[in-house]
Amino acid sequence: MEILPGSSLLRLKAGGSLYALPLESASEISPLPALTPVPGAPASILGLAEIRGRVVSVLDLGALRAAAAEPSSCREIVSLGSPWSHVALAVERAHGPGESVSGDPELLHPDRIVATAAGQVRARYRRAPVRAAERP
Amino acid sequence: MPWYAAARLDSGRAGPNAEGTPGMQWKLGLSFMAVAGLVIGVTLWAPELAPAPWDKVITIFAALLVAMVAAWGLSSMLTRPIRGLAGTASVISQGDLTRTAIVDSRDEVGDLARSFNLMVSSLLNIVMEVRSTSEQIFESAQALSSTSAEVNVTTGEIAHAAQRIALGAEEQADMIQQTSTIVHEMAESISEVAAGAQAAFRSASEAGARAKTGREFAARATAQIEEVADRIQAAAETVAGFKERALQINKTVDFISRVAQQTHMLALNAAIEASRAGDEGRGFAVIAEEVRQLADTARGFAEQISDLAEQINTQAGEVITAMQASRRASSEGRQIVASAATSLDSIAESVLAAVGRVREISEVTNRQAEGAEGLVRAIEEISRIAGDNRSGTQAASSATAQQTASMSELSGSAQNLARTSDRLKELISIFKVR
Repeated sequence: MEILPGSSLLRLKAGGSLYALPLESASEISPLPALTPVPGAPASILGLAEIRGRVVSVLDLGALRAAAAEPSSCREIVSLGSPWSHVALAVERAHGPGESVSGDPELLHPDRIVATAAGQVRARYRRAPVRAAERP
Repeated sequence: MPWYAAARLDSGRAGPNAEGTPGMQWKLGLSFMAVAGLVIGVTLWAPELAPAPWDKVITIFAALLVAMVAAWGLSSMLTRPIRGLAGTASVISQGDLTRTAIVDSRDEVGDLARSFNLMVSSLLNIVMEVRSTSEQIFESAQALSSTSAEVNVTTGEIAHAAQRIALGAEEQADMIQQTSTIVHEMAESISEVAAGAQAAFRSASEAGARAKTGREFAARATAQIEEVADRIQAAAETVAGFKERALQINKTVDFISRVAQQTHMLALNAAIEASRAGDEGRGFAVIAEEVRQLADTARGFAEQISDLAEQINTQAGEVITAMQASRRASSEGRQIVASAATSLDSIAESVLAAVGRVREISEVTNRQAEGAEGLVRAIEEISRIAGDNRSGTQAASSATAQQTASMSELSGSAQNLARTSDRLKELISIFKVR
């Protein structure tokens, strides 16, 4: 997904850093819902949540971006738009385009975020022995 | 010149010529001439008795012869006892009074001799008496001399003693003067003590009154502390109500905050939806932004209210703590004031007792001051008497000094008397009395 010039940005605080996400890339902002943890998942994947009838993977943005993942203090999740509508980013706080937020944000690209998470998941499960019963 | 000396002089001169005294021969011549004249006259006057002229001459001569013989015989008969008497007198004049004239005639010479003997015996008695008297005088004079010497010594000692007594009286007078000064000072000190006791009595009375006033103040302070404690209690309850209200405010503000948060989120979602709508959603995005701003403002106010409520809560807690401390302090203060009141009570009691004692002391010191004045008067009287005593002992000392001089004179006179009586004895010893 291309970041269109002049598009409005959401500013996201997570893991002590400030990130920027184009408004078009998000679909919804909601409070942190009840999470179902995924066994054997990396620390950046907080778990699965059910949002408006859909199962969404909740990624810890701070843990995903920072090398040393701190215990998450996320209170909100930002659901990504299509084609990553089954992925949501858990953040401490989401600020709107009109809000003044101090700090220089790092521009996030949803494709890269998802790719990074997928890579971490793959790396995790490749190292781990997969039993026949768990194989799809 | 004493009679005995004259007697001695006379006896020395008259002694050797006693036999032929001119008086006696004269008397004998006169006797002879009288006899001769008688014979001649008889012869001449009686011629009838004379036979012839011649016979007359012979008769005259015979008469003269007879007269001469008669005169000699008469004179020798007259002078013999007188000579014996003169010899005896001569011996007696030498001081031998043991001799007596031998008397064998009954004529005038015999009378003279008896009178002489009587005189000698009287003289003997007198001399013996004088001798014994002079011996007594000598002894008495010696005794007087020695006695007066002793008396002289004693009088000297008495004069010395009197002088010492006079010195002692002077020292005593000085000492009494010093004592009088000291007693004066003591009386003044006692007067000062009496004044001090009076002042102490007044001070103790004042202290008692003040302790009573302090007791009343303490009672009032206790009442006020209790009132303050009650008010603090009421205020603490009110502040506890504040705390509760602050908690309720916090809850309400939390709710407002959550609503604002949700509103904020809804505004963001509206903005997302507006951005999806493209150009048509642009106006909606503006509204969403305003809603978000309102929600943020509301949340900011809610946070401020929350902070204020938190501060109120905290401060109310502090006030409650402080009030509890105040209550404890006021309780302690009440106890302290109560014990102060008790102390003041006991002070008042002690001061009352002290007032009584100080009054007693004051009375005693007043009596002491009166006694000291009496003592001062007595000491002054003693001082006056000591002064009199001093002058008296001085007079006595000078009198004994005069007496010493008089006794010296008396002693000299006694010695003179002894010497004179010794001389008298010596003189009297010339007389031989046995």
